[in-house]
Amino acid sequence: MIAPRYLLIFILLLCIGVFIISLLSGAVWINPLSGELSNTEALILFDIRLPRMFNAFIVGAFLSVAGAAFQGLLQNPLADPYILGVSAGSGLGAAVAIVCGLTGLGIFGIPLFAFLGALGTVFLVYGLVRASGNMSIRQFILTGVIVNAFLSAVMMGILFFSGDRMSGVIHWLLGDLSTPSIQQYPLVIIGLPASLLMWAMSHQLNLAAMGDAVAQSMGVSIHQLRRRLFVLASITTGLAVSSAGIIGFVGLIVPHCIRLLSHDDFRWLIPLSFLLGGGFLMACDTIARTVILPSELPIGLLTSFLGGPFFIWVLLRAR
Amino acid sequence: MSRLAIIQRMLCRLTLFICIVYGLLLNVLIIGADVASPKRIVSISPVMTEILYAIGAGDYVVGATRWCNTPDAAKALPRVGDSTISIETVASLEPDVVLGLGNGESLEYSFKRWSIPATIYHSPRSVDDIFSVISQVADRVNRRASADELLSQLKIEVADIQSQTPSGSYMPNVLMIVWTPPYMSVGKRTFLSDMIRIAGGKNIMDDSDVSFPKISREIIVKRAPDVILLTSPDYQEIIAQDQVFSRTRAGQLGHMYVSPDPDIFSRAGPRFIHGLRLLRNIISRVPPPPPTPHTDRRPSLPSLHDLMLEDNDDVIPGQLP
Repeated sequence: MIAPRYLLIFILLLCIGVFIISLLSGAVWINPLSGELSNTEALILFDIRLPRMFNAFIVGAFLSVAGAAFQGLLQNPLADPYILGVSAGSGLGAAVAIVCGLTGLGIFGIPLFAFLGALGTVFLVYGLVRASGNMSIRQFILTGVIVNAFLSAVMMGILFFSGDRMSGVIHWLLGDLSTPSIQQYPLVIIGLPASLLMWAMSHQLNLAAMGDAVAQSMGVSIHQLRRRLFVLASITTGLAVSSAGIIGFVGLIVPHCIRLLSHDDFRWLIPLSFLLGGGFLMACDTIARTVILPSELPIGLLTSFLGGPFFIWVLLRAR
Repeated sequence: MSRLAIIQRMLCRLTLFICIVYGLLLNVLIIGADVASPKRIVSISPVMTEILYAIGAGDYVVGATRWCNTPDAAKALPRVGDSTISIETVASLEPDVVLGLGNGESLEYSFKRWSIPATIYHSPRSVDDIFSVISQVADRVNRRASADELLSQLKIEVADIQSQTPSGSYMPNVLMIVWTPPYMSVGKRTFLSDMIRIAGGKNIMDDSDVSFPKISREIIVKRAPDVILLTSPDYQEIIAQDQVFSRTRAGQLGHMYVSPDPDIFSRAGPRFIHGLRLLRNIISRVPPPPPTPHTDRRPSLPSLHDLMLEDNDDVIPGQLP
């Protein structure tokens, strides 16, 4: 166990290290000692690489915060940002956009459809649980899993019948940070306040983690908290997905990592997850775009490849 | 030796003899059936359909996939599937042989389990592979003569295009984009990369082992393409929105082109020659670089009409050479 403030310093240093390495490596390796940058180097650095690194950081950060919130809310260590069907919903939205040929509209194409699909799915799940009259955690998880499976099937159906456009969607489903990130500003303008609001609820989340009965006896309106956090976490997840596709495991492992290294006080967990998640995804993206030059690996492949073994370790440790 | 024993031995020999003769006969019959030209062919790949029609076996094609759109006659054929093939539909057409292209070992096996003769050829990875597949298909369906005619025509034209760029002449850097988003190009082991080389260009991704590598915007800037070709009009809008392309020499000099028909650069069949002509045409328009390649002038976005292929008269989709 590490005191949270030391962990904060450690993660900040880590992020700075990743930032510097990421900034210097890529298709063009930049030598920091050479002094002057050539035209091409300056163009790559400022117009391509920095925006992409920023995008990777913010997507990783949003996914990790959403993951931390879902894990606390559903009191389930397996919860990740996609547990309520957000991935299938946004995938369906993206598939609809791609099949309808709306890929060229910038932010109003795939990103908007993916975001609407993500939010729509969470409202659908929430509505179904509400309609069933049983607002238990089990009901949420079960409904989420089933809606997820159903929407995945619809999406695969659409892709199957759309024929030759399929390969592009599959690439998108594996996550992609390489395409122009014109959607950065809405990402920050909407996502950052949502993350801060979740942080503001961390005291209530701490109480909710002790169980519904305890939380309610301490004056927390558990249903209201759940509803607000679902919406906020889905907004950040939807934004991340609409910008970079479905990147797995970040939202699952980063909050666990913080819990294992320090403790599970949400007042620390949320900001630390934000920083570590951002740094982790930026590091993964650096590997993805340098390891098989001149081509690059899908980012989702790397996060899952690194995240899978880690998660097994968490499971063994928790025994 | 008793009489019975002699009869027994004779019977044994007779049986053995009959078995051998029957076996030989059967073998000859099977091989004979294999060699005889099939009268009912099902094609399970659009490229295969194009090849069959081009070598004059079109009249024998009785089934094709949903994507077999060339030539026009193929559009009327009964459909047997698309990305998945319905083996029952194929069987109902009672084919003499099923022909396809791609990684179809498991498919070939399942056809054979249904006693349907099938041959799935490997997808061509070069122009020579295209020739070899056409030649193999011709042997399979007994159309050697017309295939030889087609092949010699194609080879003459390829040699003609190759002779326009003697070794040592300037080879512009070519970026071919076959998918977006994300941007995907062609690696060295593809017929498209081979076509760029024959047309006198240098594929900027020809050091990639991945057939269709995902490429970053950094690589696009770094490798400085002189010509950019989008293989489908669908990608035009995305490319027009991305500032990166205007920073390349191709964008600044207006050497960005879009293929009017996505099939031209996706089908490794006899129509590759259309794509090759187009490539030669656009590559030949690039002037050698000026002595001082680095200019400081701020580039403007390439306008959309620059992206349109100006003269596509020589590309008539649906017409085979």
